[in-house]
Amino acid sequence: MAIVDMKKVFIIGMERDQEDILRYIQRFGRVEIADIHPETDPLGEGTLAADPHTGLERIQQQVESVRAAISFLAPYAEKQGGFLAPKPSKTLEEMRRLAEDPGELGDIVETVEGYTEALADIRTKRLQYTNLLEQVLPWERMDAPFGDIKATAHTQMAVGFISQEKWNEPDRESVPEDLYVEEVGSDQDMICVFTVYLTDSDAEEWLKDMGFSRTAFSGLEKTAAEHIAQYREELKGLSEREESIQNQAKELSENLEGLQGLYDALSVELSKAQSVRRMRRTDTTFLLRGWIPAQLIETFNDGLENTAEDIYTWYEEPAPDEDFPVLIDNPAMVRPFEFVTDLYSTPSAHGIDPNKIMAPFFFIFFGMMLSDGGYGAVLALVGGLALWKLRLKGTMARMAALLALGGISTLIWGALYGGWFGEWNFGGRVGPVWFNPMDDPIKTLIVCFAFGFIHIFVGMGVKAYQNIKAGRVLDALFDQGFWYVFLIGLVMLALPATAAVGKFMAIGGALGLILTQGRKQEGIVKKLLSGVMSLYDTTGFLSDILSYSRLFALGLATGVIASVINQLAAMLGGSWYGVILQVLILVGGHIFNILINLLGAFVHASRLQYIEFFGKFFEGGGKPFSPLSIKTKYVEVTDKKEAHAL
Amino acid sequence: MTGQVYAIIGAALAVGLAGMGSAIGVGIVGQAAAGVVSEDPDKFGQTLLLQALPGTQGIYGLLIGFIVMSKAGILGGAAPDMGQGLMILGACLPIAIVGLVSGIYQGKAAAAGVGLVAKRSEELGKAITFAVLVETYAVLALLASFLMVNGI
Repeated sequence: MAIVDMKKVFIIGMERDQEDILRYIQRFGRVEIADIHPETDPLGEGTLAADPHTGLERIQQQVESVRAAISFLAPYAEKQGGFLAPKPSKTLEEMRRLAEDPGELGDIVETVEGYTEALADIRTKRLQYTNLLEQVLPWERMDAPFGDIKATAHTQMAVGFISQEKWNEPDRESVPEDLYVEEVGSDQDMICVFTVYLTDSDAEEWLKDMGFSRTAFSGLEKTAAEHIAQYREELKGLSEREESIQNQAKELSENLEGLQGLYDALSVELSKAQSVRRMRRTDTTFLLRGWIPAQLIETFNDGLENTAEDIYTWYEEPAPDEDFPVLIDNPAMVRPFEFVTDLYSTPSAHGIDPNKIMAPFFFIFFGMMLSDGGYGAVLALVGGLALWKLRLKGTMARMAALLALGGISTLIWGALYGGWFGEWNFGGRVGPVWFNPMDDPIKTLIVCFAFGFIHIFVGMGVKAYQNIKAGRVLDALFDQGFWYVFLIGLVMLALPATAAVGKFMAIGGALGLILTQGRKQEGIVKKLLSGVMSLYDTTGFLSDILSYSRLFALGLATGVIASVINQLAAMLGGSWYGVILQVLILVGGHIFNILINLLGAFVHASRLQYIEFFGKFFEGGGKPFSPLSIKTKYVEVTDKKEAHAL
Repeated sequence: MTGQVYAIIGAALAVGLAGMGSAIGVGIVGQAAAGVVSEDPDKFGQTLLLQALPGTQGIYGLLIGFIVMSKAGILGGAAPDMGQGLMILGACLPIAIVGLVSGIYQGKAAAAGVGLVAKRSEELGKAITFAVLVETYAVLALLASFLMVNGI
């Protein structure tokens, strides 16, 4: 339907023209370059893989280091312009020259790399000194230098810890004569002790009883206080170095915009270099295979002929079972809804693009679940303004347009139901165009189920269409036709006026299903049995329909919470601070309500498509079309030619 | 007058239990989301979306609670008699119970969805769908409670 026809394009050209041709393709922006596998593809026979010296790795490395430099400098840069600021613009030629010769920007990237390394070094050293400082700090009061703590001929000298508990025990008084022990500090619940004793005396026994754990400070010679001063000095020096680097980074961050331009310029080159890897070559020629939308072939060919003279091009249809990349083309009004389908899955190349059929349902359901005219106006305004002011592109533009369209639908449903910012009917002045769902919930539910019925039937209809198109007319009749007859019959049976006709339809449909649904089974018994079993699917259909009750329930949630906010606000008032509170509650409350129900409406409207609707016919798993094109993140390319509508 | 007691108990259960379900559910997803964001701060938006999903049960509960209050003589309407009060209490139970349970389980499903998004951020739609399937039953319970309260 709206999946664009793709053709394979083959180009054989001279190697000297390769660069120009790829630039042309990239600027054209609508050709996806595909791999050629010489093992499986006779075309690739005898060709060579791409020259490994095309500089792909070099560009990759460059892009990576520029990216690192940008993310390093970004926090230092002064924010300017904000969200609304237009992107700086550049021409393709400027970008190309920049990528070839980054000039002083290249030096800046190198400098920033140096900063990153220096900062990492500072971090490691700081950790090191902090650890040392923590170790030595408890010994600050000990005036013996660490280097002097060693054994002599007849004495032992040691430092270590004794737990506070043991230290405070009374039998500590019974210190042996030939032992000197001194408390020199404490560390959490340990006491730091310095001790001297005669070798082989009962002093060792005593220390053991006290749970003395000896510690050593290898490599330290001076007193603890001296070491502490030294470490503090080192740490201070590190902080100073860090600060000076940060100051320099702040100065360099003026070049952020230039670096961002360089990043984009290099990314464009990178995607081109990556495409070269997919191609094959001989000594003097290259071979390229790609995918192109069929309707663009002529424009593409015209431009290509102007780019190079010695070139041979031909086009082929994809093989019947070949999966081509999927590009979706829809009218502008449908395009925003592609966002919903894309969230689920790209349609399969041989399936159907559901967007056109899905769009009106999504539109209706979304509005029904918010169903407040005031909220609708706000959303339409926000979405419209975002679209208009921010000059959004791609997915963001689709989301904004979807918001605006959803707002319009919400506005319509708000008018139908008569709900405006949670006020029902405005005291009778603005009555509902249709009816107030709060007055007649059963009627509202019936409306919801009717929408569900139509939605599901349309989904089955699409499947029937696919079956017929594929030549399986009988499948369409058996699998969808009989269900139509059976289900419509059941509904008519429930209504007194049509009950008589409904009875025959239901019975006829059921018979048809019993006779046909087991047709893939073997043996008459199995066939009939699975035919009868298939009627059990009615319950699935019923639960699908019941699922549409959320259309009412979520609308109810929006409306009732909105009126709760209004009533809360109404309770205040009377005094000046009451009025301020009122305004705060009204504004804050309604914004909160819009946000939470916006999420609910979007998620549930999508879910009704994914589960109830797509489940009937949709085939996903397609590979999205990703052409070689000029994609930029920070810069607006002014002469990016986009003559084609797709 | 006595009927009002039961109506208030009903409203309190609807708001309280459904709110509990949402609080637990949102909490579960928040823990998973914070873990993912610590690795990849760009995933904040996507995971926040998933975290908001189990938040609706509490709102459904508040909604029923509010309708009961405006019906049973607290914010409007007349105080119900004993029988009506008990009926209102019964009508509040679906959203109270299902709100509690589905809030917790939706939270678990959404937390698993956070894990899915952490590995493959393009599959957000599927992660949302898994979690939203749980909510169906809270929606049905809300509807049942509403129709019952409305009918009394």
